[in-house]
Amino acid sequence: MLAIKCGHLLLPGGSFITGGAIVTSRGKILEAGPDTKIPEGCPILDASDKWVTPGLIESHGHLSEDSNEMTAPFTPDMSAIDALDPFDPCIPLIRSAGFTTFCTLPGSSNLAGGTGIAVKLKEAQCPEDMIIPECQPLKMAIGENPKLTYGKKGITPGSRMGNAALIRRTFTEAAAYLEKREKGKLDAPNRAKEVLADALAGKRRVKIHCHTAQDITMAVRLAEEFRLTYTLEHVTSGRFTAEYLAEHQVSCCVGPLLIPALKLEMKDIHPSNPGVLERAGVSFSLIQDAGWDTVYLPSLAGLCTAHGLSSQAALNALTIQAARNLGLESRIGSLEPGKDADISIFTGNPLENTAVCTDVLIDGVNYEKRK
Amino acid sequence: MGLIMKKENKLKENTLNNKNDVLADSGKITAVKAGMIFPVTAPPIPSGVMLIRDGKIMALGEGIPIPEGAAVLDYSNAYLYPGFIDAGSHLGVNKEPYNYFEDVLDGTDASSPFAAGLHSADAFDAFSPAISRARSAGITTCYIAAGHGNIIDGQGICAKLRNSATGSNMLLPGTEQVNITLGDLPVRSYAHKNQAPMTRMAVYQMLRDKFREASKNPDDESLTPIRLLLEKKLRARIYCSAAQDVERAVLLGEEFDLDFVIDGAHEAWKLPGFLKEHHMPVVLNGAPFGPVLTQVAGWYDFSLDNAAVLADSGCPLSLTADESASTALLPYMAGFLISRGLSALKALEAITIRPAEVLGLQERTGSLEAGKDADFTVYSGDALVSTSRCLGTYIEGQNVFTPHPGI
Repeated sequence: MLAIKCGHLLLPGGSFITGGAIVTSRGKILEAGPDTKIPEGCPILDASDKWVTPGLIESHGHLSEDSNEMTAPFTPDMSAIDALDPFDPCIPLIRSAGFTTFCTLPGSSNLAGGTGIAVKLKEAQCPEDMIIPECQPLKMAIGENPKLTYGKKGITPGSRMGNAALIRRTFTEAAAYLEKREKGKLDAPNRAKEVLADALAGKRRVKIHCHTAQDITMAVRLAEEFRLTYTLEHVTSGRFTAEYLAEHQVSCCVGPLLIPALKLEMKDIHPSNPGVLERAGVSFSLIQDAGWDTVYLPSLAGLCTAHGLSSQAALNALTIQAARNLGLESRIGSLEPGKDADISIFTGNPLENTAVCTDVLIDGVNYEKRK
Repeated sequence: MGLIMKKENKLKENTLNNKNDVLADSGKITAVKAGMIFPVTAPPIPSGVMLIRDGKIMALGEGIPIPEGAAVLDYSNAYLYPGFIDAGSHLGVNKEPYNYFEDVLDGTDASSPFAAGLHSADAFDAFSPAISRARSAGITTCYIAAGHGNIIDGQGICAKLRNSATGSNMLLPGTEQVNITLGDLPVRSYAHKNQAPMTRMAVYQMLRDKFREASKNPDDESLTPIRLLLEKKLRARIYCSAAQDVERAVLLGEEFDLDFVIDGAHEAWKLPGFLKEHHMPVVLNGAPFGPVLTQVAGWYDFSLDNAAVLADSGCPLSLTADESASTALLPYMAGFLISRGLSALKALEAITIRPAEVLGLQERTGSLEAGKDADFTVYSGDALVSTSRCLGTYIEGQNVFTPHPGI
């Protein structure tokens, strides 16, 4: 058992209250809130001068650069579990910034690059000891990356039309595979088609990378055609299609928030983006789409609050909304009874770049313990 | 599409200039009221007033009487700072947006490792969207670097980020400096082409040989910039990242008695004792950032504690975004480094007076003092804290940025 006495506690909903406490046991939260009483004799972590939040969640990152199989535009059977190095030095660095769960994905060179994994940023000798197995989304991408990667090799896709056409072609074949599977009439299993069939059957979530307004609407068009359970990733120009996204009830993983515009399709990157989406009623998490520079994500979310994003939405976007986008909201993303004891403690509001993360608990184990 | 975008930028500029005609009147005084003024070279002034005339600061202090007829900029609830300075920027030179599939970075000419006669001014695009982004974060002066990747990359020049359709109205003649790169970067540029330098040893020796060649050939005009370096009439900006190269670069600079500054310095945190001994001004990359630098992270040992270690060793410290569009993140980067042990004062100095000194502009800008240019920016809170908002940026008394209403 461990109790945390809080200076400021982040409630579900995204607002901080003064005071409050959390009681944990065997890696789970027993109770958390303004009126939580600490049981007699329970060891106490004194954070009474600090800010306490659920462990932060990165819902779209890349723990490995070795994650783009640029040999064919559709490689759904690749898995990020095979790209993960549990000893990668960026893991403890990202954890030290307050992150407890990280969804690491294949890259975006392919229309379907493979499946991602969500991991707890624990110390482990193998990926199996980090992975949350129920979250292995299919990573897809449209826009410039696939058409430029393959177009210059003379392979489809070489254009946006090619991006869409090859997706339709491949999913149509997978739909036929799914039908045979459901009737028990498969000739031979095909791992790549299994992954796509799961997506079509709603058994596997899909993440679709898109930046421009044009690609945002293409992604929605394709996802609705094949009835996928999906989120849109990056959505850099989302502020130009906010009403459309709200109308189609699309949930987004928005980011990176502010880096040099490294390609034409990111030219409209702007910190006002998440605020516009919030005002239109679009659900979103915030992402860094990176490895070790995930450390900047909480305070870049904070920077967006100077451009119209509310602090509640910013904090939700790093916690509960990120959990929802991964389908893990029953386990993580808020300080509520029964959820994993993933808790981060800061010297200030984590939206501020001057705040220091001093403690990170994952499943009740404290990895940081800094002054 | 590109042409249409450029036209829109120009229209925006003209509108802003018209608004400022009142303030530009010669002799008319403007009084800026602020909740807190941060002169940087003096303690903060609560409820301060700063008087400006003809683009210069006349006076500043608590409760200074405002002359009759003066225009008043009322920022009574806000924080007033000197305009921020990026001493190692590539603003306006790196194409925006940069298509990493197709484009060549326009600031490094990889046809020859010695390019002392090339000028970043010739590559400067006054319409680069990164420039207005920088203004919107309170940046008022930048060094526009040449480089990095050649042993001598060329000459950079300083720019005031005035609203202008032309670079010539922004660039400051006489502020040229010579960009040099030492260490592994020139090897990466040339070795794969079977061209010298193919090793680190060659990088250093080729530079020494070039210095000697310049001294021995006083009539060779192509070597004039190098002679000016040796005579300390031009400052050298030596870009190097690995710890071994920080050391060798300092020793080489001292060997030739150059007036020089170390740039980049990603691994400087590994040798604080050496840096303390040599008391080197350093222009540090403020935040290794983004996918391009993540690739480079495999080459060097980055540490988020780099700035604090350097500041503690007594090195005059400046921060740079070392990029184009992310110049707007300079105040954010300085604030982030406070969470990594850099003092708040040194963080603020690192984006104001210290880079002004590196650029030789410390008499003109970099702090709020009587007689200096009225280059300033106003924020809703502490400018280095991520959640604060820039409310306005001014260069020589002229407004160059106002936020859109309603955001």
